[in-house]
Amino acid sequence: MASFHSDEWRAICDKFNNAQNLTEVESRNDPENDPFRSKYKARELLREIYCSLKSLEAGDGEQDADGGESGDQLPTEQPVDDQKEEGVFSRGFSGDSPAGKRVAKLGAVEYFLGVNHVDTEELSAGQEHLMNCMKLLERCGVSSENVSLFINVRNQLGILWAGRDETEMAQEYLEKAESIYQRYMKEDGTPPTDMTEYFSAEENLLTHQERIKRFELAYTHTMYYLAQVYTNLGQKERAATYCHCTLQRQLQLNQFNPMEWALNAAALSQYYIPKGRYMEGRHCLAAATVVSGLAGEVPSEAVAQESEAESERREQLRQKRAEMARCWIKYCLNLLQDAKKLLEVLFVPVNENQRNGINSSNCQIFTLVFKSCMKVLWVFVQDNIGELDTDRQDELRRARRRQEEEEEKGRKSALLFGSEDTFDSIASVEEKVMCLLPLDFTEARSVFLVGQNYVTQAKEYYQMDGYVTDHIEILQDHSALFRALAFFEEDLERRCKMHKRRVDMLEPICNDLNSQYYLMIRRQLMFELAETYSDMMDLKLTLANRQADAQASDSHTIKKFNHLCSASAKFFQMFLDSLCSPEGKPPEHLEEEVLRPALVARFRVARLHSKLISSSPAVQLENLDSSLQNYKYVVQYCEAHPEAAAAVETELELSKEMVGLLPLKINRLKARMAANN
Amino acid sequence: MADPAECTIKVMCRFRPLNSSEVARGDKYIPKFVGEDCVSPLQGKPYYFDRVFQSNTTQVQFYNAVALKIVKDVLEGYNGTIFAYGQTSSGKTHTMEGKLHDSEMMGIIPRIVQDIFNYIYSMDENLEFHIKVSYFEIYLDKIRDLLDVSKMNLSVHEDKNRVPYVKGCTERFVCSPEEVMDAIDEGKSNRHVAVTNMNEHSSRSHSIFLINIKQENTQTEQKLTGKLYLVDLAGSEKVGKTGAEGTVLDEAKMINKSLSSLGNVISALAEGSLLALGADSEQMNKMTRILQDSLGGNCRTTMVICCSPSSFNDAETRSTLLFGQRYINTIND
Repeated sequence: MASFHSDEWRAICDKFNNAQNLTEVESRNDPENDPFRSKYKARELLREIYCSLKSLEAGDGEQDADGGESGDQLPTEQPVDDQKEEGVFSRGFSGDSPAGKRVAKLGAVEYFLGVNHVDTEELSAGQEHLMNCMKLLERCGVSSENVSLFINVRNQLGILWAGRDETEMAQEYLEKAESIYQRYMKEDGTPPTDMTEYFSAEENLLTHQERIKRFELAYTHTMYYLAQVYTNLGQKERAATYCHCTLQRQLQLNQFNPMEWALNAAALSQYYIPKGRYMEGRHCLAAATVVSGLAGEVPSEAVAQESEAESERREQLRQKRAEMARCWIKYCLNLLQDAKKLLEVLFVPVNENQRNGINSSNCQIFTLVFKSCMKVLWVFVQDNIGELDTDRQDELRRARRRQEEEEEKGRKSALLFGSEDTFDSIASVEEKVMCLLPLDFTEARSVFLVGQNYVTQAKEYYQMDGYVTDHIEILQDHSALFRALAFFEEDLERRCKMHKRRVDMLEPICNDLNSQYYLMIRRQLMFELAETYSDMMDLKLTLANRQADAQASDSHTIKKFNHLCSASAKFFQMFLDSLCSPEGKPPEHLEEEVLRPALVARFRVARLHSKLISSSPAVQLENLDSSLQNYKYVVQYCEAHPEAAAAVETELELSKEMVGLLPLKINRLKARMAANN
Repeated sequence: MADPAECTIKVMCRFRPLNSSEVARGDKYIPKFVGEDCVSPLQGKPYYFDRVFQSNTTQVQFYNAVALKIVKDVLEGYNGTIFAYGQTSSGKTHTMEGKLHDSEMMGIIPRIVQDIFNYIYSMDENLEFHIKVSYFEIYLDKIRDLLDVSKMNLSVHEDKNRVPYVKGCTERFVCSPEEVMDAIDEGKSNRHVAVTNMNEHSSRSHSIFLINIKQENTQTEQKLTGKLYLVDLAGSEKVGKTGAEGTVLDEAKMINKSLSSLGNVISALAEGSLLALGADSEQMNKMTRILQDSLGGNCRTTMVICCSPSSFNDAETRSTLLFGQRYINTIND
């Protein structure tokens, strides 16, 4: 073996450093009409290194039986397929032996040549060199001398094959890299030689710490690449797990930018939440909150005004924290809404369920039940849809407690984020909000308050003046939080007040917005306001009915009722008007997105007009007429457009009924009016 | 997003002819055209667009088919957007700009500008016109004013009375076609200033040129405003050589090497649900908000994709056609 202190060797090392410098540093300055200039130069140097290494070998004479051209005389000849687990770790000679080290050096040069060709878009040549590296490594077992190379070459081959749309090949290489890492860490674990060290002088070798850092970073990339491969294979769940792992590793190894990491964790929560996986979602958000704090304080306005950089930093931090607040809002909202869905089914009488299209074999219930981890309720739901009495409520709670215990035990510690500093902080953020479905008003309210707090935070940044669309989305979420909470509120007066809060929040905005520019948003708001007023009207009616009959038709109550009824109709009508042409002509054909809402709006207007209370027969007649017109519209439109009927089955059925019944009612009224004159 | 009844989005595809050096080199002419709306590259599947223009299309023909109507609409108070997408060798510059002072060879933009002013000159003297232009680019979610390079980080501002706009962006009043073209030239040269790697930059930044036309009838006091956005889309300039293999590179399947794109990978998992976070979606969000009034109600939008017919550019052509196709699919979903 050539002496490590010989001039030739030193020349090789210098060349290598030169090549690295060209590749990493110089290449950034390459002109746009010759973008690979430095890399081509680096390539030449690497080739020279390869030849020098080969000639050094030849010069030495082979002391062991691994010489270049002279065939293999290995005791344990293994076939080319290197996907067998044991083979890689224990075949051939040891990675630490002189032969092993020689192989590693040659392999490293092939590796760097491979990467060089890939970077300069010469994929075939790149592949060839990377495969040469693989072949060289085949002859020896994994050891701290070469494990980094074993893993990195597979990372590169994974990228290469993915680029060719051969995702399964990429998967194979990357999964192999994964298993090599895991086994190495389990059986050995010493800080492995980094690939740049093969050509370093003794005094320039890396510290243990640095070696570990680079090695771990390579494996983090393996995780990251696998996440992408699984995404491409459509295995989203696995991809999410690997994204989760990547994030976890970044945190543990302290290789992260706080705001970036926090946003990524928050983004990951948005994967879990729609799947009802609130424990994971909460964990991601809590970690995001804690880590974003590591980015430091937001510069004050005064400081920001003094420097461009500070001003930008202030803007960035404020915006990103506001975005995270919005993710938390979604968490709270979804949690409340899922709880509502589950309880709606269990607490509402059977016939109403049937009317709403819910029945005991409805798949949604099953998924919800599992999503909320209340497996015990499964039997419950099957047998006992109907109003649940207090005994059953207790059963529910017991089931919940059992589940909580199970979860504590089964908590997947492998997927917890954190480092020593942050584990506790993350846990304490998690404790502030529950992750199981709330079952009563107290629990729902606690979730609501957390959500409302984040609404305030988000609105601080996303102010109306400047961020109309975002601001309104936040308000819509706030309104939805109220709506969900109202479901849990047993006192009807208080429930009504919650709806009033929603109206107070959204109505001014709806009226203020420029109708030409914010068409879509206004439509959403109109529809929501119409439904909210309708809900309030229904509540008033229920309240009135519950009071002693003597007080039944209090004129104040009637006025209130009518006000709510008209308000609801007004907003539905506004929505319908927004679909018309500038001249006020309704559309001949309703587009898909607006079809159902438009027909439902018509139907509701019809219904509302028929509910209005008036002592004047003339007014009554007007209301009934208007009601009839709207019911007719629904029926006629569905006749002219049969495909529309499917979208509004229930409403159509009722409309047909009313079209039949109302004319009789109208005639009776007319007769009475005539008789009274 | 937009109510389709009020909004029309068209995708137009244009192939340039082989140029003399390509002919000399012996490059094959690969596109096969079927009817007026379909093209298939060699051994490839057919791509359908609203219209496909063959290599013998003249500038005038192309303009009339693609942009004329949009100009009319803008002058009637509607908003219009023209997106342009094409890689270096695709003939995009010829299509969009052409030979600026040659009445036969000039491209879409100079013709639009001329038409606007011709229309104005021919109008009633009671009509007063105010035309202003802005030019900015979006790069790595920063908006940079191309008519005033000191403004490097503009933001999109919305208030309840105005559609989203780029706050603080230069709005230059113009009175003649020459002044408009001067503004374009100025902006383009500013784009190159202080950018070290031009290819990398233009492959990842969108530029938007806005012509804002306000007309007021001095007698009736009726006012109309129309905006025309000319968007040069990113991804059009490719660094380095074409893929040596000649295989189609499906960008969606390529692995992103750098961990800085972890956010995009995660966002793709959560896509379609709740909030989308991540650098690329930031960029698209900014652009969508700026173009909101173009994409949301009362708009005319056209996407122009330009391709080279040479076998040498096969990979780039395929990826452009794929891009155009995806755009069509997104709209129709």
